[in-house]
Amino acid sequence: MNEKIGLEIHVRLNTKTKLFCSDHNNIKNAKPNSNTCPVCMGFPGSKPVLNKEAVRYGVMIALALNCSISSKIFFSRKTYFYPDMSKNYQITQYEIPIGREGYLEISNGKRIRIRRVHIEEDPAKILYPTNDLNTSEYLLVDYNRSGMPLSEIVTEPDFSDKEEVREFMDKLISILEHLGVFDAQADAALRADVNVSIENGERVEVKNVSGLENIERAITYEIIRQRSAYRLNGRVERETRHFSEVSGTTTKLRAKEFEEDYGYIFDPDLPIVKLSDELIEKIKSELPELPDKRIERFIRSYKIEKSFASILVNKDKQLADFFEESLKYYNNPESLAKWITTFLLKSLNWHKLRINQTHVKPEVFALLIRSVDENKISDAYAKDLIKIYVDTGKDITDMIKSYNAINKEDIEKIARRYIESNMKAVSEYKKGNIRAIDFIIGSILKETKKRADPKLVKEIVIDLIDKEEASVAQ
Amino acid sequence: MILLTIESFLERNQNLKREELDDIIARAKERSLLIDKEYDAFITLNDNLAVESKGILYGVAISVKDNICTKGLRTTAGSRILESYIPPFDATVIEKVKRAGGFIIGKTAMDEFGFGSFSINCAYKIPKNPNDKERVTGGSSGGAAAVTKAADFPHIAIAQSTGGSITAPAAFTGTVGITPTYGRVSRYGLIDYSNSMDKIGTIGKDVFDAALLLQIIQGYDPRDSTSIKLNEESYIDSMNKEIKGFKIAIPKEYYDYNYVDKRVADKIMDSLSKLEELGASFDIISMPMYKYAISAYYIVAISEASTNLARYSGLRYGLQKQLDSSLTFDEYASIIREQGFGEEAKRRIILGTFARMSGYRDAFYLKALKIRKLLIDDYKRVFSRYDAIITPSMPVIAPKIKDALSMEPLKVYGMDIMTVGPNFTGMPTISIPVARVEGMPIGMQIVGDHFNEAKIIRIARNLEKVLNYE
Amino acid sequence: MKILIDDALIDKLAKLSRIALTEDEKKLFKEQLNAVIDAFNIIDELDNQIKDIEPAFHPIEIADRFRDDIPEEYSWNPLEQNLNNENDYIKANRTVR
Repeated sequence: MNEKIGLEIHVRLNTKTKLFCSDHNNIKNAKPNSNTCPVCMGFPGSKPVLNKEAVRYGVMIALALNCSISSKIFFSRKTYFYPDMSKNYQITQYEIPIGREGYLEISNGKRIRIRRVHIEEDPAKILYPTNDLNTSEYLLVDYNRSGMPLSEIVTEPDFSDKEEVREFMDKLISILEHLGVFDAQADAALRADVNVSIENGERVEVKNVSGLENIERAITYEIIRQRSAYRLNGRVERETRHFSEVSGTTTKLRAKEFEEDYGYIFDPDLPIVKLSDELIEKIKSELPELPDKRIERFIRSYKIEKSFASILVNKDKQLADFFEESLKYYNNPESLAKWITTFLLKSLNWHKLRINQTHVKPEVFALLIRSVDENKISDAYAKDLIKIYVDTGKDITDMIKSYNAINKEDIEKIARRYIESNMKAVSEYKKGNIRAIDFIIGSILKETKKRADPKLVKEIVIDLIDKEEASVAQ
Repeated sequence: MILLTIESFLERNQNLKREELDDIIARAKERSLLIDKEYDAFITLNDNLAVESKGILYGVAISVKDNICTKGLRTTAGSRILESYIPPFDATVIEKVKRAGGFIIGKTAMDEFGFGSFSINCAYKIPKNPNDKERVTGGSSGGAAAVTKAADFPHIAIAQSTGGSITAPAAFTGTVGITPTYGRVSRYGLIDYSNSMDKIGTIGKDVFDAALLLQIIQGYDPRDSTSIKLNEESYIDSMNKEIKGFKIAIPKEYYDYNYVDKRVADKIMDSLSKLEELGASFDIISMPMYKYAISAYYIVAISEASTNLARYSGLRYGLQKQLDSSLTFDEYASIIREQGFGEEAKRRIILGTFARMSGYRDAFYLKALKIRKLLIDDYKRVFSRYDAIITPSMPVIAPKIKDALSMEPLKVYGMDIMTVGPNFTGMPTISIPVARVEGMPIGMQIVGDHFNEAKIIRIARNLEKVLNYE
Repeated sequence: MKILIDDALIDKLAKLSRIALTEDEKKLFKEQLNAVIDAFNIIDELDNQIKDIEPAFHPIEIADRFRDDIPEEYSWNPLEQNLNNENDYIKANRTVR
């Protein structure tokens, strides 16, 4: 099992404008081709002018990924013909990227090496009328996306499995969000070319996989496919493959009748950009708190466990923000961290939602957990409420407040009733089959509609049976 | 109405009455039509002549090389692939001319995308030299020079040079052409040939005209990242100052009979004596690097050009066909480009694609860029001791169109030997007519250091006064 | 760099350039390009002199030209000159058959 995985990750930078013109970046619900101008549509005579903020973002990312920063960068033209290319060349960085030779450490202590970080323009968006490249008679092109700024982050093939990839990607996205340069909800915010090779096999590249989940699916499929190919043929061929989101499989991209040659030249419309030491120091000094530091602070200031702190911060920035916001309403970090990283996160993951995509409010969530801790509400009911809250977005404040936990005497009354009508189970229990009373406990919980604490119910039932035995023995 | 110089026209243009202006415009229109009939100098004549402001150019007709975008007015860059192209915006120089009160009379003929030294690589008609209609105008700004030569109304041309496309036609037609320093004039709205060398400049009947228009169109432009912020000089104010004490360099290689028509070289040498009379001195120097300039220049030019022309693929604008779903995008683009580009454009695209191809780009494209640095250093060494360099503008007089058409590409490229050095290194030049050979004008090229336009304009103006060329 | 442009290379260049050259053009260009590239090779004489030279991307030194990150509306009809439209999209040929 000696897999090597490497990633070429493209993330959309969330500047306000495109990389080389003043059209909007990341505009939502725009009419096709309405967010365009002669520059990003490649009209003759138009000239690109570099967005300063995008360069700053590029430097920030490179710094956060521990890269060395080039003192002088420039842009190149990568020439190839494709219907989504407004000029049939892409303005990108070739010889000298913004950052080189960085790394990002994951929890097992491994450093995933970063080969390069650069910025480039996005091509237009292609729509396939049949939703399939192979069967569509023609294509539809929307240049609204053309020229939007991307950062390309290239790793060395340092990942051994998809768990490492997932952890790295979570951490990377959290870093980008902490830097404030990335919006995970933007259209085509994250894409990657995934390189996978198994032991003794050639490197296979899966092109243009969209989103985190699909990256994992593509890796899983490729490893299985390559192992099986190796068993059958004794080798894995070097090739480029296409990932289908529908089937979760990869297919070989039809070999071109000739190999494209990008014929890189320096883009003569764009002067060099000097990244002086002073400028880099300035950007460095302005960097916000990054995930690793935030985790340390969480452990130090809030005295929470490292595993909770890591999940809160690395899962996504909004979750950590939500945690800190909730603390303002209920200052019990340990309890909040536990509930957020377990039951809240479970509900979010179920719906593939991030916290800021829901209507869950820190003040309401804090109230809920405070109520649990003060025994005003049962754990079980709290879990239900979290689920309802995430599912529906309905304000649960009243449900928290109107809930009255059932008292011990009431539980005992109900328990006696169930014990009396289930004497067979009681005698089974007495013979040593302790699970025999589960039915009784379940029935009580059902009747109390989760207002009773299951642990308490169990105690009461056992207590009552023991007492009854004692009275019989007398 | 007798032909006035623009210099004298400007003394009264601010006081023109509306009817007088209308007369001037009507006459310019009528004469342009005739010039076009006679010399095929225009690709498109402007029907909507309008003066937008009462600036310094009030009432002056401006012709525009057809690779410069004019909003709403067809702009083809001399190519079939843009035969019906209507730019959605004005180039910066056009905005400036309109603001200065000039009116755009039409778009002038050129070699397709600027690919040529004679204006014979034309998708439309080949412009004819007003001095001799059988001869070429020079290129690639041939139409601009022909209109300037033939115009008998106040007119100045906006031209453009990559490797010599202003000097060549100015010399062949007997007009004055200024190629400014790279970055002096905004390229925003210029249809690219070789972006690291393309310069918009001017062609006028005399030094005053060319300098005046340059003064108007120059300047920093945030829309062109390679335009330069400078204190804008008034060439008009400084051009009449004397040139006593100026030191001129005469590079002997540029007068070598192996490369230059003996008669041309001798005439330029003869006219140098006038410089001495004006108080300037000159030394014969050597610039042996010149022989590498043509190759290095062409390599960079075609490398950049082949990427610039990639965008013309039958989508969005330009030559297009009804969608035929039996074709792939590659096949469709290949057909459009085969039909839309002329022979020289195809040749340069193919060559340029070669020069930047992996495996060859280090040996050609990158090496040529390094040689550019050597050449710049070479010029800087000369300009540390001299105010200007003077050479012939072209190595020959304008050839006959039929002879030019049968010339091998390599020989045509050799015609740029005088001009590629300064163009490749971004030095400003001015070409002025100094004599005739076989009745055809020959030009003198004065080259200055970067941003020393004022100096070479001043030399040219002083020379012009004493030469009595016409 | 000595290089002979042969039929295969001309074919490849035509494909990379997306120009459907005719056979006559290929023949003509092959001959002419070999002559031109042969002439280009004069620059190899400078190999020693350019060893430590930085390439000059522009004739003059220009650096650090930026635009502020402020959106501007560009008012135009981007499809005005496009022939094949569908709704507000540009229709293009497919990339594979």
